[in-house]
Amino acid sequence: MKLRTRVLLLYLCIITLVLVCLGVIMPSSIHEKNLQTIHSDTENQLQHIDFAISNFIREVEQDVSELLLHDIITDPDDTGFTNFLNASEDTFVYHIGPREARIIDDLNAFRLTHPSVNSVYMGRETGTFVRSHPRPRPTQYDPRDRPWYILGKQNPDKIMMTDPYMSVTSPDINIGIVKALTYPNGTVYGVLGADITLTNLTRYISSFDVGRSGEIMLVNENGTILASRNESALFTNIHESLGEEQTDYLLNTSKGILTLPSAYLIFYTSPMLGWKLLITIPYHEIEKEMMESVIYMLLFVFLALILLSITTLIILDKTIIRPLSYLTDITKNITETGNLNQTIDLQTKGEVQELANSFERMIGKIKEEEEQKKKAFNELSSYRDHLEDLVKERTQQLEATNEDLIRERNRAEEADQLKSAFLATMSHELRTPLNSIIGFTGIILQGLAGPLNKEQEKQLGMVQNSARHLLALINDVLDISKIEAGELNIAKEPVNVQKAVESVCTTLKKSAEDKGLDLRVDISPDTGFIIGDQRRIEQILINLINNAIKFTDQGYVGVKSYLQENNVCVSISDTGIGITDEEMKLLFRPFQQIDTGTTRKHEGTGLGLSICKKLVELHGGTISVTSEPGQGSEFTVILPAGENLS
Amino acid sequence: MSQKILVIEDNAQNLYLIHFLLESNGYTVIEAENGIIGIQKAKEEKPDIILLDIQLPEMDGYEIARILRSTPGIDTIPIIAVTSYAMAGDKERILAAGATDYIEKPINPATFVDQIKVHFKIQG
Repeated sequence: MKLRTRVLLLYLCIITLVLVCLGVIMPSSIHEKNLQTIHSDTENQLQHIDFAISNFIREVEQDVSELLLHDIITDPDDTGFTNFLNASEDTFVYHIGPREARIIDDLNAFRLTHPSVNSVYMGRETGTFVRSHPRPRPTQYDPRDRPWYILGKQNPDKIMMTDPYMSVTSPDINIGIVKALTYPNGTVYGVLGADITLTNLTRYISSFDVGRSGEIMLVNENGTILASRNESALFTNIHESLGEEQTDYLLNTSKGILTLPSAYLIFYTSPMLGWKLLITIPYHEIEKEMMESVIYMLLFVFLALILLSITTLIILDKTIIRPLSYLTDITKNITETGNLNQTIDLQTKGEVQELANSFERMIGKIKEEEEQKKKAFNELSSYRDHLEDLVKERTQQLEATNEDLIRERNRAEEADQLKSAFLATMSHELRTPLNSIIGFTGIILQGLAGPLNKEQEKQLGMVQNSARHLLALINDVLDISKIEAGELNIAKEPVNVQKAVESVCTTLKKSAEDKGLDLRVDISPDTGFIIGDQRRIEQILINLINNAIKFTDQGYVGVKSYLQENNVCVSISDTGIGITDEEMKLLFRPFQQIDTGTTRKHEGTGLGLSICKKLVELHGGTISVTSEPGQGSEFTVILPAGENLS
Repeated sequence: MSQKILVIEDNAQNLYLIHFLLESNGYTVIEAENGIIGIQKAKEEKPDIILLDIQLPEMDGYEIARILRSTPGIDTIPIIAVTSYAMAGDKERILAAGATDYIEKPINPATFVDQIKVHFKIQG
């Protein structure tokens, strides 16, 4: 997703979140505030209305007092005035004198100039009754019994206002503004009054626009409805529609607000009149208003956020997004074309400019490195070309050398084969005549070719010994040759060492006894097996035991065999001349015979021990020697025991 | 009738030695100085034992042993190789070629006849 899209989405999320939060929080707070506003607004209106009504009443009062200034009206003499004390609808006939007619004119003039006043009248102690307009059906009527008269008479000093009362002459409900007519001594002789019908009052009050579909009502101290648009409610008591509790609250509180099932009721007590002014405002009006303000508020916030988003987007776009995509394009261009010659023309500030600068430096560095690389590559290429020549040259040399080597190897192999063939031939060629010599000597000594005398037998014995010695020498030389050529192979068969030692000792017992030596044989029954070459093992034993016999003049030769920690051990000890430290160093080297002094006392090739050592090693074993010159020596052969052979 | 032993040996001295030794012990000896004559004589004479030298000119002992072993009529005659046992593996090779036993050169006149006698017993 592009950075621009992401920022846009982020803004949308924030705006939505803010709007949702406001939508949740605002209504309740606005509701509260709205209610307060409406309350105080309405109260103000009520005050104004009260003021107007008070003025209206006061005006009527004032007018009534003005009427009292008319001498013709206040004249106590009411002789000849109409009375209805004994009137009957059918028989009554008006007899209006000139004075009464003038009074009627005055009163009627007053009625006509005051639209809210529907009747102006005067009663006298004598029972006469004069009215602004004649009663259409003159029935029996005594003004002195009427509430307005009684109230006026009881309060002669003040202009009084009556409770609403039913008109006798019309279906109206009236409030009378009345004033007593008094003599200077204070005696009342009549009462003057002006009636305001509630219908008129309602009409007057309705002329005030309280807004919000609000309805205005007027209720007196007792709860009687004096003015209301609902005419059927007029003159009924407010508790019929409000209930006791709310009515009590309304009548005993100067101003406040009541919650009705579908509307708020805001009331105010007129300080002058003592009446209650009421305005009911339906809930839905308030809610409508509230919703409107919520919607206006939200709309405002929304527009403000949008404006903020657009502004920041433009700034972001200019300072970050566009430079970034510019740099991205350059990067793309570099990766696609590999062209590093890019000029960065970016006029901005802050981190982005720094990025652009770093970017430019980076491209510069890369370019530099690229050039170095190219240079290095060129160098390498020339090296490579040169190297190819070198390699070609060297290869030719190597090929030549190789050919030489192959030739050499072939020659060596040929030589090797020749050597092997020579060894085989030598073995055969040397043994064949020896075979004859030893064979014929044997035959003659056996007496098969006829009897011999003592001297002949002695000399033939010498021939036989020499021949045998010669055979031993040839065998040793051949062995050593084969060892050195790496051609001495040994068999890998189970060899019963115990039996081998027994057999060898049996064979050599005679030569030991011939020298007067004791051959002490100590063979452990668990000596065991090894894996190897029977003939070679015997050869080792013969060699070592023969040596012991050869280098011992008196005493004994001991042969011991035993098993020790998975090794088969054979030790050959003697009480012979022993070996010095210096001799020890040369002991197992070929062609070394210890005691090679001027007197060569012991015959032998000096190859025996060296062959023995090699043979033991070919069997994976070791040979060691301990010795004390003059006391004797002990050779020990240790061979790894064969596994699980019985 | 004394038992017949065919001796195939090219060296005259050794042939004479063995001949003398065997005849002194009462055996009839048939001589052959090479393989061809040896095989021929074996077919004609049907000897009781054949003593075979390994190092022979033209046809060596291994080949002679193989031919003797694959020739009907004489394929069960014991062959005793007489070898100088020069190189490792010689013994195995000659036994594999069909020889019954081997005797190492140089022979010991005191024990030579006893070594041969064993095979008469096996056969008889």
